[in-house]
Amino acid sequence: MADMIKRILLLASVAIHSLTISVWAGTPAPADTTTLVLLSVNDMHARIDQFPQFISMVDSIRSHHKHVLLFSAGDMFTGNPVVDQYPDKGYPIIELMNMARFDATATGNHEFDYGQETLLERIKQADFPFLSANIHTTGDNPLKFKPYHIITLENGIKVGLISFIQLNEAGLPDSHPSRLEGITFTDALSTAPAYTFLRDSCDVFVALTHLGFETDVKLTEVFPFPDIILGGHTHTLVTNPRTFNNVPVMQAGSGLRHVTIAVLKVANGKVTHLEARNLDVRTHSGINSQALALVEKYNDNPELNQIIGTAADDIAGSDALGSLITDAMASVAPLEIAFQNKGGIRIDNLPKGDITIKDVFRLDPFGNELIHFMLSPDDIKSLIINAYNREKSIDLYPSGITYTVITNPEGIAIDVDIRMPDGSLPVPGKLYNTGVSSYVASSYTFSRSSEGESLYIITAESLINFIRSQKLIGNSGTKRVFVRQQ
Amino acid sequence: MKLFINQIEFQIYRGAKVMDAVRAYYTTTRQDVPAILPPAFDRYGNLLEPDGELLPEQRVFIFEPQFDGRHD
Repeated sequence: MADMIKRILLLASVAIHSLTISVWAGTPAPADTTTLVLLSVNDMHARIDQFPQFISMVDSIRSHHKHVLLFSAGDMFTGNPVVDQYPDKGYPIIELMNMARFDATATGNHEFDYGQETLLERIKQADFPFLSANIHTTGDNPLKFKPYHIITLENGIKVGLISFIQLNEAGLPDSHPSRLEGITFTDALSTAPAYTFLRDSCDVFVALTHLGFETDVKLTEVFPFPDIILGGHTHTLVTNPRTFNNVPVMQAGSGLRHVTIAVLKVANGKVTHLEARNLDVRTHSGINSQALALVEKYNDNPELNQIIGTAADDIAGSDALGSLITDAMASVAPLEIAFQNKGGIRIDNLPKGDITIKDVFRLDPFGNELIHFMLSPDDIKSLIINAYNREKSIDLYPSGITYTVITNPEGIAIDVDIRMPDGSLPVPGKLYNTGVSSYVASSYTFSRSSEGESLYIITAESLINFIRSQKLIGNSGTKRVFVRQQ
Repeated sequence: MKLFINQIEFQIYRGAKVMDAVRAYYTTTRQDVPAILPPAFDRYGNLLEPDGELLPEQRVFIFEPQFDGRHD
């Protein structure tokens, strides 16, 4: 087994330099062969800073090839406060994608993060269609997704696109379920065969998916018809391109750092040759000045200096600031208890007066998601004790409870006295809806009574929403954690 | 959901990202979580970016300087 791991890791280290695949039909290219270039990015996650280089690169490729199509394989939104906190959430990247002249996008799970109403507005503003064959809305829901799309080139060659979105074990895309109400989703692998007819309806057939690389590989087993799969979701940078059931499967990492380029030769209604690899956008020397001006405008956006609330007094020190963060976390349904680790609190003081969005991202800059666990009092004790014993000092700041760590003479935590806000003890055996950051969820040792699930909201976002709703913040002097020697 | 890192099976919350899984791997195997996480790869040797989303039962591989095959 160790040999297998070493083989895969050796493959990884070698394959980074080997980026080209070639699929030949075996016959010389006829005179009327068309060269078609497909460009695909995925999981841009609102990272707009790369757009000036990216658009320059795309324009450069367009200047060398007559037929170039540009696709996104989903998840354009979520990951950059400049875009996520823009008054029209997500609009900046739509404007830049329009400028880049995208031809189509897959619909990713994070496209739902701003809510259905906002997504509908962004779709209306986009000059390109949002595709998905396994998202289904009823007649009265204005949000509609085309299952497939056929683009006809000037010379009559038809390029067909089919798209699918990833579903988790609950049968939903990875976004908060409240944002998915009224929409039904069907499994991509069982939905795909219904679209086999597209193979004969076009000359070039592309699956533009947001399924994740390994599900794309499974797709080739039940649906081996596309000439290529251009995928997204798992942020896989394909450094070792290959085919599966004769279908090349590509993905270009994330954050617009890479782009997949596939060069196809098309003759007599079929693809006779295909090469695909990933290009590093950051190595392109050109800059599109129009895109640069737009990105600079968005990055200077005064919206981030928008006042969202007021601190009634200085909120200083980890106790008060940690309590503010956890009060915000616990305000997210269905949470009733929340914990914030000390290392995640990045400023010492939130001064009396105006609080801006920028202040929130200085306080909580890491983009950690809020994770929901069902925890019993014993589970919570194990979390607190293990956290305390990492450094033999207070590490977790709570909301929904107060607690006293009881240490032995060596300073090691051996027990915890947990109290509810009214001073009572928690109910033994009862499971409490508890929230922690994704950092704590993955790095801390604790027993748990449920597997846990992301609420698909970052803790900074919960803080912004909380401060906006409270308007006046009075966490100054709050202290909920104590230590007592046995 | 169930995941594998270097063939070690463990459970992690739904919606975890690659970096969460790598951190959880160190926690599960009772090792210190390094300040800089090692790069992660899929079973085909492709690079998985740290903020990449995971699929149930996905197999992830990381370089471990001390790795000696003792997880067999």
